[in-house]
Amino acid sequence: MTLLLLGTLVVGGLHTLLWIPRSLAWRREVKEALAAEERSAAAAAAGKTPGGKA
Amino acid sequence: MTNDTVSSPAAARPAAGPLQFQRFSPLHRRLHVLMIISFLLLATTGLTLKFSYTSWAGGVSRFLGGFESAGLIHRLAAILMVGVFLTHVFDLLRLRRTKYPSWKALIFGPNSTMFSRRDLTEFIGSLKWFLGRGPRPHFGRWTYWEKFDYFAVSGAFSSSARRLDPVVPIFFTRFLPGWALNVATIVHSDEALLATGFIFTVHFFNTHLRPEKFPMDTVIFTGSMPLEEFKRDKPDEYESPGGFRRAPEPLGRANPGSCHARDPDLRHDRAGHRFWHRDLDCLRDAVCVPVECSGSAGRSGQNRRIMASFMRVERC
Repeated sequence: MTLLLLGTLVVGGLHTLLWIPRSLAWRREVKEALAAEERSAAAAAAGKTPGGKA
Repeated sequence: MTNDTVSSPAAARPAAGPLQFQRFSPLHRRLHVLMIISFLLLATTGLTLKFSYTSWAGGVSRFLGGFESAGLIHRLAAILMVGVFLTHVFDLLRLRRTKYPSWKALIFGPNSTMFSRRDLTEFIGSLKWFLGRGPRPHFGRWTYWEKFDYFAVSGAFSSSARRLDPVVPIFFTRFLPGWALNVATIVHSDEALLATGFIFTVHFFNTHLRPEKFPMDTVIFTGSMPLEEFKRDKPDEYESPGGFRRAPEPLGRANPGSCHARDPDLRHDRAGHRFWHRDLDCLRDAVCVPVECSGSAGRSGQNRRIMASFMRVERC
């Protein structure tokens, strides 16, 4: 039981430690993608308005 | 349990915001809340009893009214957890009877929480992704860590069940040897410690503390998540033919004024909101009763339950 307990927590802990840096990078990528989408949407909206530079 | 959250159009439809994808039914969400309550009570009282010789356990037990009270709370919380488990089992039986042609389709189908070869592939793919040697795997309905969490909870229930031996010893010793009670106590104690450690570290990180979801992923409480986030998180489920599908444009309105739109792929309500259904519950032949419908048909428990098993996306 002790081996099972320690083994599970060690594997889970290693998985978590490996995941953290990649998760941080993934968060950055998603934020950048969302910002780019918002910029393009704003540009498209500005182009459609009468005063926009379409 | 009734499904009253979809009976009110105002409650079912947010005032504004991005398109939402519904991942969890109201029953799943309520069971998860009850599971949290029972698990926290079990962990608090159980660890207090397990480490009763320590000073902190003495302090906690005084707060709970003594070790005897802690034991009573522990047993009551265990009854709640068993209730949650049995409700889940009845729900599975209902799914099997009403929506799946066989147990094999339910347990080993693409939307099952049972481990499969795909999970091994995705686990290896995730390790490669962690190390920067491959792309993020295209996860489907359930990721391997979600399945692991699911079975960790099942382990907690099984731990409770084993503890029944010492709770009702006279009954069990009619057909079990006496040493089995001691073994049950040890197994229960260690397995519960494992479940507690796992939930408070690995599960909490996976679902709440990992940077991309920080401070927490609320989908299990709200039932829905933004469609864009869903597309990033579960691209395979989003793209799979049996899962989520984009609606053909233009949408228009189907059967305005009717509560029963029978289009198998795309359903509309009277207000023109769109509904998709996924293969989770195999409801291709079911009659869709949108949440907007009024009258007895829309309010009946059966129809609300059918509706709850649809994946819903609304344009608000």
